[in-house]
Amino acid sequence: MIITNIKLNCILFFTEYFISIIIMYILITYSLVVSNIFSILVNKVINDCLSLIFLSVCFLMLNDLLFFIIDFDSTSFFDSKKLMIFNYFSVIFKLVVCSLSFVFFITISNILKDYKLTSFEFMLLLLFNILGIIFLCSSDDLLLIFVSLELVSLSSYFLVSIKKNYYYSIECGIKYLIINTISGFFFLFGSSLLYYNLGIVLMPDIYIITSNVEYSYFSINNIVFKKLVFKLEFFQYYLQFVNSKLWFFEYLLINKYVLKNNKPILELGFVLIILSIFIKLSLSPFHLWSLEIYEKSISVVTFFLITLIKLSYFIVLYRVCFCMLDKYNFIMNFFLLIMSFLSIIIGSFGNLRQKKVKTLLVYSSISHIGYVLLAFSINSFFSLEVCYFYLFQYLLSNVIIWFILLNLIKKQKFYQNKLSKNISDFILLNKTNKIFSLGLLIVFFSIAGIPPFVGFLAKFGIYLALISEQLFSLILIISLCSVISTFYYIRLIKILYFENVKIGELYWPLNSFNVFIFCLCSFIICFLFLNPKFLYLIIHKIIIADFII
Amino acid sequence: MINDRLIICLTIFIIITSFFIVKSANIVFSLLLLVLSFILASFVLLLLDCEYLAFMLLIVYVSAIAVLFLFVFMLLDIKFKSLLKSLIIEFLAGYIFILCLFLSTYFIKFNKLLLFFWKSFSIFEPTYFVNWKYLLNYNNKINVYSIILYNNFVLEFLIIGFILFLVLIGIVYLINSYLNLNIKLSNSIKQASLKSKFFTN
Repeated sequence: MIITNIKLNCILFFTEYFISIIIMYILITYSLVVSNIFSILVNKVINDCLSLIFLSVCFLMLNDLLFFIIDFDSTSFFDSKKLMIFNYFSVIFKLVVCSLSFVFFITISNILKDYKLTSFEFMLLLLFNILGIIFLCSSDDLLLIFVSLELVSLSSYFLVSIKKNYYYSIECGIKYLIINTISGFFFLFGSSLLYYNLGIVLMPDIYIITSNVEYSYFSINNIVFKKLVFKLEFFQYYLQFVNSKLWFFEYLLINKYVLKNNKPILELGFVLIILSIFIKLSLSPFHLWSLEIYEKSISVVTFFLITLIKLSYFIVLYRVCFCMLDKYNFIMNFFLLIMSFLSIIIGSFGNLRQKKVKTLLVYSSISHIGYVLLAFSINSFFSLEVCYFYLFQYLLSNVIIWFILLNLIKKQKFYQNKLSKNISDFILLNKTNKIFSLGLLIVFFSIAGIPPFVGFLAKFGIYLALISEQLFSLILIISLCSVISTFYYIRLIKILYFENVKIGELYWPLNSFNVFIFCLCSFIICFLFLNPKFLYLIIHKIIIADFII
Repeated sequence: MINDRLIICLTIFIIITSFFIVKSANIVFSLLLLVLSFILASFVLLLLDCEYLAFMLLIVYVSAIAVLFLFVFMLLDIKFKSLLKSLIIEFLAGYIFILCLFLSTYFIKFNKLLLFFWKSFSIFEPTYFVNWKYLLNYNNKINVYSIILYNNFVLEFLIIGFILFLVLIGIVYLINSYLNLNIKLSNSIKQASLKSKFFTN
């Protein structure tokens, strides 16, 4: 019995173990290889990374049912504290992160020579980042979340400033560091305030206290509170006091403990924690840093920042809002609603005169995360489903856009080639590369929300969720904003197809394997409109896992 | 109690020193003040019965980092200029922010706060009893810390190890220059212009 338990434990932590061991392996082997030909070395490293992540994807796909069978209380390594949570939510998000990073490594694999990224440290930093995100998926403790967030953010500073011979990439790295450390400070301060009030950092316990009891007035007879207090520091004294019948003195002690609980400080702690995540997600009042940093870093890194790291921050937000806070905490919902509303407006209006593709995508990401959080703030079952559906759909379409953007390499000598693109570089792409232009057409239509693609269903669902809450004035403004945002998506399509210019650019064609993945992604976008049940089933399972605890 | 009064005095001193750290034009003076503020903070921690943390603060910040910084600044011989004119607005903004943060919480319990101050500075308050039962179960504090660290915080400990490892790799990568470094400076006027094609790489 014990042996089987140990085996099951190994399975639970398998992805984390695997990635952390492989990091060591790559570092040791490739730092010892002495060769001046960096490109060969980089190809080897990329093959290792690809195989590693493909293996972990396969593992998670095979063993997703296994996570229900295990009884966690008896088998966890950390019996005294349940730091990690293993439910369907964590498994599915690990799978999403692994598969996204798999696609990311495939897109990189051919381009790295053109971007002059011929050092294996780049891969190591990416792997560290993925490790941190996987830790975030299943962490259930505020301290663990903070530490793994630091792992993610520290590696992303280095990723932003990876081009060390460019002045502005290092400048951007420093700016990113300052902003992220400020938000980290907010997170720590908020969690310390929570610890001051409640004496605990575990999220489910905080949830139990704040939902069942009015936390300004603790009743001493409450069972949960007694458990908490006596478990921590009073247990020994409690026994002694009972024996010596000094129960009055004990009452005084508990009363002194209760006096510390003041509601405003506790709420300040919650607000500060959520504020730090808002800064990291770059929602509208805090979005100004993101434009510069995403524009000036290399586009390989921007792809990573927009898809994977934003996904990880969303996971943290979900964990904080749904595992720690009360489910019907109206103050938080109000905050979320206002922030998402502002970010939709700014994301749709800021793009009107934009000429650079990267900043256009960054603005669109701000507005789309606003849509996701709008559905997230309503707090009904259907709205949560819609929120996840929108998120996954948006990630998929983002993958295709960046796949095309990164692979558009001109048939010129390198010093004439610019790697961050204006909108005008897409002129006559229809005649040179038909598949690229078709893919861009599909993606931009689906993002804008035009019927034969998934994006229409997602936006439709969000409007339905808003109507069920009777927020009609909000719907009117948001629909106007979405109409405005369709303008620049359709302008891109106009540039692709209907431009009366006879001078265009020539681009290199794709690999056969790359074409396979590209076609698969664009097929899924078309297919999910016809049959979205496949995605909805997975999402249904995720939400049920957290609603029934 | 004497402890409370001492802690309040020390925190006031810490705030004053931290104000002068930013205000002083000379970097060496500001660093010395920083060392002083760390020592005061360690005293506060000692009064709160956290000996381990206090000594860690002394060892890490005062002995290692501050002395290293002092050494570097002595070697560099930087020319100093008065930063005070530009800093006034930032000071104001910072202090207003802090006030907004804390007044919002304490405004409701303002009477309680006043009462706390009154109690802590009043002379005629009777002293509390020392609870002898706390002293009976005495255990070596470093032993307790190690037991808690290796039982309850194993995962955090491991991840912190990973973080240190990552920082080492990243910094070595950024400093090491096996490529020819032709640093390309950014031109702010060109960037600001509408028809800029500056981000060509």
